Amino acid sequence: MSEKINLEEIIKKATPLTEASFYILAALAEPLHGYGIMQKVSELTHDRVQLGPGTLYGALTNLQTLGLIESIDGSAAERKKVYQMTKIGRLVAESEVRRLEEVSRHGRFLLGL
Amino acid sequence: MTQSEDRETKTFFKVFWAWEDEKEEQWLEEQALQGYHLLSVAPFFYEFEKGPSQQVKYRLDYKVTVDKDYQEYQSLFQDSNWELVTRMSNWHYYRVDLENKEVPELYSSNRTKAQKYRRLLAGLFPSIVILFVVINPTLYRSSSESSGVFGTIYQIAHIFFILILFFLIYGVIRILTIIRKLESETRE
Repeated sequence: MSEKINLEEIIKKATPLTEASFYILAALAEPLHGYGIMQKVSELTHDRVQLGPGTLYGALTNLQTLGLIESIDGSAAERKKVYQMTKIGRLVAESEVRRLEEVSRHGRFLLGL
Repeated sequence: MTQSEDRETKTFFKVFWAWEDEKEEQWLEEQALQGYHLLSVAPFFYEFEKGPSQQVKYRLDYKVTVDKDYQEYQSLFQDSNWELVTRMSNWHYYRVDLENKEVPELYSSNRTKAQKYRRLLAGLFPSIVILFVVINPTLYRSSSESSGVFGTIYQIAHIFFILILFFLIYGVIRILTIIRKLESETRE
C-alpha cells in the first residue's frame, strides 16, 4: 500500500516527462551507456529527436535523482557508466505511455481523424 | 590544422563576463571566419592560431571539474563529436565544424540548458562566500583604525571589495534572468 502511494507521488512529481526524458527513460528498458542512448533514440525517431550531450547529461542526472534510472556497475575497465531503468522507472514509463495514448486518442476524436 | 614551423599565433584581449557566453561564442565564430582558431583561453585573453577561414560553431559549457561525475560528463561530450578545444577554470570550450551537420546542439531543450546556468550559479556561490569572509575584517578594521596610512589602505580595500561584491550580485541577477527566461519558454 505504501509503495502504491509512493508511486503516485513519484508520478505526480516526475510527469509529464519532457520528450527527451521520456525517450531516455524508455530506451533504458535495456542497459545502455550514454552514447548508446543517443544512437538508439536518433535511429528510432529518424533523427527527429537528437539528444545533445548537455541535455543528455542533465536528463540522466534528473532521472537518477528521481530514482527512475540507475547506473549499474560495469567492469572496472569500463570507463563509461551503464544505465538501466528501475522498477519504479518502468511503472512511470508505462503510466506515461497510457497518458500519451489518451492524448493521442482524444486528439483523433477532436480532429475527426 | 597542421603544426608547421611558421605556425602563427595571435593573442587577443577581450572582456566577456560569465553571463555573456553566447556573445563570446559568436565572437569566436567570427574569428574562425577570419582564420583565427582558438587555442587557449586565460581570463580576458584568447590565443588563436592563424589558418584558413572556417565556418564553425563554438559552444561554452560550465561544469565543475572536481565533481565526482566529471568523467561521465566528459565521455558524454566526447562521444557526441564535439571537440573540447580548451578549458578555462570550469568553462569548457567546444567546437564543431558546420559541415558536420550530424552533431546536435549541446542542449536540445531549454530546460536542460537552464541547468547549465544553475551549475554556474552554484560555482559562483563559493566566491561570494569568500568575499564576505574577506570583507568583514575590513569593515571592522576601518571603523576602529580610521586614521593614518593604514586607515586609508583599509578604506580603499573596503570600497574595492564592496564594488566587487556589487558586481557579483549584478552577475547573479543577470544569470537568474537567463534561467528564468529559459525555464519560462515552452518545454522542448
